[in-house]
Amino acid sequence: MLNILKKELKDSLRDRRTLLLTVLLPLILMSALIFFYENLLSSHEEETYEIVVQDAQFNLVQKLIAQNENLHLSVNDNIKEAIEEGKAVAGIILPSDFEKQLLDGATPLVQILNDTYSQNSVLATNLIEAAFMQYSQVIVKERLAKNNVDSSVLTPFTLEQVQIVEGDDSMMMIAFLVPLMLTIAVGIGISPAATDLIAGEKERRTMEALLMTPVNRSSLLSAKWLTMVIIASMTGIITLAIVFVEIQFFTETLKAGISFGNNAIPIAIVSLLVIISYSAIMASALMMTSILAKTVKEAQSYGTPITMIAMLPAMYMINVGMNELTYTHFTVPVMNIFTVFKELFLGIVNAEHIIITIASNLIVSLVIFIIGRILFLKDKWVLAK
Amino acid sequence: MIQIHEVTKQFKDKKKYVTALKHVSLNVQEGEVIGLLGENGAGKTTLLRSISTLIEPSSGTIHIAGYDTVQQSAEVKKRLGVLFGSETGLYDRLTARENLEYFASLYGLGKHETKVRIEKLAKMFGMRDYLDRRVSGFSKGMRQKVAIARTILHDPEIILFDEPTTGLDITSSNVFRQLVHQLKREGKTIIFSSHIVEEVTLLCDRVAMIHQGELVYEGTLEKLYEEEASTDLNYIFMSKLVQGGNEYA
Repeated sequence: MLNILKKELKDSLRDRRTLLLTVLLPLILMSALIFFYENLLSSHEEETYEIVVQDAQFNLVQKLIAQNENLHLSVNDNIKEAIEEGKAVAGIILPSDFEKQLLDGATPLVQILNDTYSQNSVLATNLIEAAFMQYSQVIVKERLAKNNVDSSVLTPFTLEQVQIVEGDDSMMMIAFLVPLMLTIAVGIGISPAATDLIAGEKERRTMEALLMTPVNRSSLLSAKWLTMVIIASMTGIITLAIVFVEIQFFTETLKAGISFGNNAIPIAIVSLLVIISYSAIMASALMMTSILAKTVKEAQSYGTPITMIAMLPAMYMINVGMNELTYTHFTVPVMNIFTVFKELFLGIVNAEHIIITIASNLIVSLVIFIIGRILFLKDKWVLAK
Repeated sequence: MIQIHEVTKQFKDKKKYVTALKHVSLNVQEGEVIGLLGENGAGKTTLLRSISTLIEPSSGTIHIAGYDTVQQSAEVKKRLGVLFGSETGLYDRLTARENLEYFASLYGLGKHETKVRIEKLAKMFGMRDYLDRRVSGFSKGMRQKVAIARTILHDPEIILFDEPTTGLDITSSNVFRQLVHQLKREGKTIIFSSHIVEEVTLLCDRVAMIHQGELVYEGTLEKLYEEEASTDLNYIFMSKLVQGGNEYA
C-alpha cells in the first residue's frame, strides 16, 4: 500500500493541473479576497470625494460641509453630466432661495444626485447627509429656542448598543471568509487528483493493469483515497498559510481584528485537524464520483457540485450568531467547518465542539468510503467499457 | 496448465443480457503457444479477461496451474502476465523505469531483483536510451515495448497477449514475434489473440477459433490443414465462419 501511495503522490504532483490548483489557485484566490475585504473594511478617512454644486450655492454648501475634510466641493452648472462623466461622485441641488425659505419656516427641498452602483458615491452621499442633518439640528434648535422650548424635548431617551461577543466586524468577516475559501480551495485542489486516480485510470486502461496484479482492491482503493486526503490537506494548509501570511504582513484592518494571544498554537493544531477531517470527507465524496464515472470528464461533471457544496452552509452560517450555535451546527459535516472556525477566530478552543466536528466528519467520510469500496469491488464500476 | 471448462459469460446491456461466451472449453498445456482467432467482437478479449481474473465467468470454471480464477485469484495473478491490445496501460507522467519499478513492487519483487530484471528487459527490447524518460513523449512502438516488458517483468509462467501487434510498425511487430519465440524456448505458456492469421501461423502450436462467443475449432495447425485440405489459414478461417453462420463471411 505504501508503494502505491508513493507512486500516486509522485504521479499526482507531477500533474500541472494538480500543482496549479493546489498551490497557485489558493494563492490567487486568497490574495484577491483578502485585499478586497481589507479595502472594504478599511476606514475611508483618507479618501476625498469630489462633490459638485451650482455656482450660486457654492458658498452656502461650502459653509455646511467645511468641517468634513473628505468632501471637496467644486462648481459645475450641469451636475448630472459631471457625475456621469466621472468628474464628481455626487452633486447637491438647492433651491436658489434656500436660506430665505428656512427663515420663513418653509421646508425647502435638498437633492443629492449620486450613483448608487458606486461605493464612493454612496459613501460621499452618507457624508453629505450627515452634514445636512447636523445643519438641520442647528436650525431646529434655533426654532425651538425662539419659541422658548428646550431642544432636549426631542431626545426623551438615549439608545446604546453593547456588543456582548468579542470581536469586531473585521474579525467576523474573517471568521466567515476563511472557512469559505478554505472549503472551496480544498474542493478545487483535490479535483484533478480525484478524477485522475480512478476515472482517469479507467479511461487510460491502467486500472486493468493494476487489477491484474496480486494487490487486493481494498489496498488499492485505500492508497488512492489516502493520496486524495494528503493532496486535499496540502491545499488546505497552503490556503490557511497564505491567509495568515498575507493578513500578517500585507493588511492593517484585518490584522488588527485577529488576536489569538496564547491560543495561537492550539488554534493552529486544531485548524490542521479540522482541515484533515474535511479533506477526508471531500476525498471520500470525490472518490465515489470518480468510481461512478467512466471518464475523467464525467467525473468532473459529478464532482464540481460537490466541490461547491460549502457555499450552502456558508450562506446559512453568515447569519448565525455565536450564542445561537447548537450541537447540530457542530455535527453537520461541512457546516461544522464554519462553526468551528468561527469559534477559533474568536479565540475560543472548545474541546467538545472540536471533537464532535472531527468525529462527525471522519464518520461520514468512513461511511462514504465503505460504500465506495463496495462499488470498487464490482467489475462494473472499475473496468472501462 | 490452463483448464477452461464450460465457460459462459453474459453482460447486461441496458435491460437485455448479451452472451459474450457460450460454453467455451479449452485446455492449454505447459509450454504451449495457442492462438485465438476471431473477428472483432467474437469473444476473444472476454475469454482472455476471464482467464486473467479481471472478470468472473457467469458459469463454468477456469483453472490456472490448478488454481481457480475466482476463488484463488491472488495465486492466479502471481502466475500471469497480461497485455491487452493497443491499450498499453502505462503512466504518462512516470518514466519507463518508474512504471516498471512500480509494477515490480506490486508483484512483490525485491529491489535488487527489480533492477536486474529491468536491465535485462531494457537490453532485450532496446529500451536503454529512453528508460529514464517520461512515457508521455513515447511513440506507440516504444510504449508497446515498455508494456510488454511490464507484462513479463515478474517472470510469469503464463502470458496472455490480446492483439499485441495492433498498431505496431513492422520492426516492433518483429521484436514481439522474436519475444514470443524466446518465451516459448523458456517454456512459458502463451495465449494470444489476433486477427492476423499469418502471425498465428508463425507463432502458434495450436489455434482456437471463436465465433459469436462459441469455440468453432480447436486443434493443431497440421490437423486443421489436413481437415480443410488447404494450408491457406485465411481461407480456412473464412470457411469456418461460414460454417458458424456468419452471413457476411
